[in-house]
Amino acid sequence: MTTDPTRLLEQSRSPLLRELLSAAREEQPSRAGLERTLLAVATTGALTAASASAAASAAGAKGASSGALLVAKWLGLGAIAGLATTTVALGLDSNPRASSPAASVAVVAKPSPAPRAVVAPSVAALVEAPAAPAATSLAAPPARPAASLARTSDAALAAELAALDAAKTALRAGSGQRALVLLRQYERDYPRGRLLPEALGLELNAFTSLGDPASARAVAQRIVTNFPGSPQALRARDLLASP
Amino acid sequence: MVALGAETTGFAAGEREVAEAAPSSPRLSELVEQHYAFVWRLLRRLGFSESDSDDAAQQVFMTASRRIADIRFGSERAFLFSTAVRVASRARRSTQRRREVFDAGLEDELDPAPTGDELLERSRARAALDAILQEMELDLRVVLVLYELEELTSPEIAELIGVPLGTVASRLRRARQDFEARIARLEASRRTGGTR
Repeated sequence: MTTDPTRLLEQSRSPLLRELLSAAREEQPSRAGLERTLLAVATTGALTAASASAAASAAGAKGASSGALLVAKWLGLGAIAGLATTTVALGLDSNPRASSPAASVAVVAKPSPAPRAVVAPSVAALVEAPAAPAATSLAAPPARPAASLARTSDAALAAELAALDAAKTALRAGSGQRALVLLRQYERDYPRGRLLPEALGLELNAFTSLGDPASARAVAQRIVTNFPGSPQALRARDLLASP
Repeated sequence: MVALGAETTGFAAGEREVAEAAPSSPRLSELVEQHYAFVWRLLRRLGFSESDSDDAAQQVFMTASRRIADIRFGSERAFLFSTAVRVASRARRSTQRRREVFDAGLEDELDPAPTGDELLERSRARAALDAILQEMELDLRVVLVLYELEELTSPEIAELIGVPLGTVASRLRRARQDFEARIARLEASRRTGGTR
């Protein structure tokens, strides 16, 4: 049986060491980041389902509409529920630090001169840069007034999420056409939206629910072309690789 | 979860896969809500900036979503941990981050903040910590972060990373020595005017 040593923060006499460790312990992710992940997970789950039924449909099966029902049902049970949760009871809400303006500023303030820099490129770019002020995106480092930008971006992201929620609701109600209208409106309103990959993922689902595998594959190709490093691209590639 | 492309010979297969995918969703949402902060902070200490940690965390959970059926109940955090470390290792391998860049960056970060803004101070402190951590061996860094920052116990760490308790104790001892030595060098450097 071992006894754990006293933690450095409690025992060290070095003010610098304590300063660094306490700063790190206090750090919390932003709510926006959590919301985006919940959205991505929900969307990808749906994409997985959509890919499966689309692939089956493309294989010449007759039951696309049945598959669509299943997709819609899944969306209703899972994806929508997951998203609704984010607006009500995020786990981070219990932590006052997480909901502080500073906590939300950092991620929301991420400059997005191009469609959302998806995972792979930004991760790769990250390590090339020297340690930079934490609120700055290393992949896209232009100096900008962070606080005001953050507020603007925060509101924009909320609006984007709301727009996608509406499309999801339409999908849940079994109205793929309505969802497509909303998603196209989203693309018009946010041509460089940060949730564009997620929107395309939903569009793919919508086409699948309508029994239109050709259009679904076209959307999948758009995802792979424009957002090759996005989580949605993984599923899109699966769909494109299927017969 | 779903093996796309494995069975695409008829709709029944797709239907079955869709049906299998459905029950995982609530578990996935729960997974994200329960462990997002842990994964995100871990990624931060493994070298990602705040905004890149968002993307990397998303990648970790997307991986979990694809393999949710393989993740044993009770082992979720261990799965997320190992995935996060892999993501970080891959990112680290994919680029060459030079030591001199670290050093230069570290000195900049430790430059006293002219504004006195506490948030900025905290941000700089974290950047300085991260610069130090990046120079440590990954195995040591991980144990240090889990113990000193996430405040896990040694047995918890042993279970999480899948090594014997004695190995955790050994790594933790070495990690703390290494970390404290680096801090001491930095303090000495600051005292002698190394950072203005």
